[in-house]
Amino acid sequence: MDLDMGENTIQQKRTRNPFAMFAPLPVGVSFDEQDEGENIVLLLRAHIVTLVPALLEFIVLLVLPLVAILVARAIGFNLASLLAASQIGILLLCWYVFLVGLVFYRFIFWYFNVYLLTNERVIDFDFRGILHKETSYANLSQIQDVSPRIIGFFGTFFHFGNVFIQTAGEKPEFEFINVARPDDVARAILGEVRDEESEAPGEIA
Amino acid sequence: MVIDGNILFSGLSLVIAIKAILVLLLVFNLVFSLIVFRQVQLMGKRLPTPLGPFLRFVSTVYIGLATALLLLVIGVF
Repeated sequence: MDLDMGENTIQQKRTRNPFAMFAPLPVGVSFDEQDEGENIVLLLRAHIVTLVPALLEFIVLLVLPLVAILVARAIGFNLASLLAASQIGILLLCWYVFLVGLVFYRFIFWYFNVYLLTNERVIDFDFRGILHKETSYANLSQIQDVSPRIIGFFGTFFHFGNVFIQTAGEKPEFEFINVARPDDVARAILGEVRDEESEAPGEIA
Repeated sequence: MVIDGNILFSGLSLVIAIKAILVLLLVFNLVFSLIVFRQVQLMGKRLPTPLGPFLRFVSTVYIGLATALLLLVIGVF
């Protein structure tokens, strides 16, 4: 299947990598309100670089107990006089279990915050917090304007940014935030919009 | 200079205080793990992906870990 990128039609391979942040034609991915004949053309997640602050936080939290023990020793605070070795071990275990939970939460937050482009619409799966998730849809026929924006050093260097999509639908503006190759994403959306315009009303192809 | 903990706190009351705080945090962690499991389950239904079953497995293991740790602290600490 060809993914229309404007003037350049790029032959795309199906994406089998489940962690892909820019996944044309992802294999094994679907969504609950997918219509018959509706195909996912592009799946997008936030660029992997946006996980660097979380990674640094993880590294700091990973070594924090060891640093705390060294500092306590350096200032002469004797933790062993307060707690048994087994209790200190349990405290460390609790810390690392909390850390595993935090890392897993950050990962699923990234993994399930997904933008989809299908041959019929754009979909924004927003997983904003532990108790807050939102899904927004806009039909391709409602899309009025698509503008990619790459801002800042990291965006330019790693080629990621935002794609703003103006629609005539219920939600007037969609924003694909920190996605890889925003210009290619915009071209793919406009290509699908053009294909949609050439179809008969109600046709799914 | 070595600071002896017993000068600052009574050893036993400190252990009880640490245990109480730890149990409270672990209860919160258990609730958190249940919510994460439910979220993974719901998102897995809304957006099935090849990684979905693995994520459900990890979240189930984490519930087990959180429960085991809570019981360990209550029983052993």
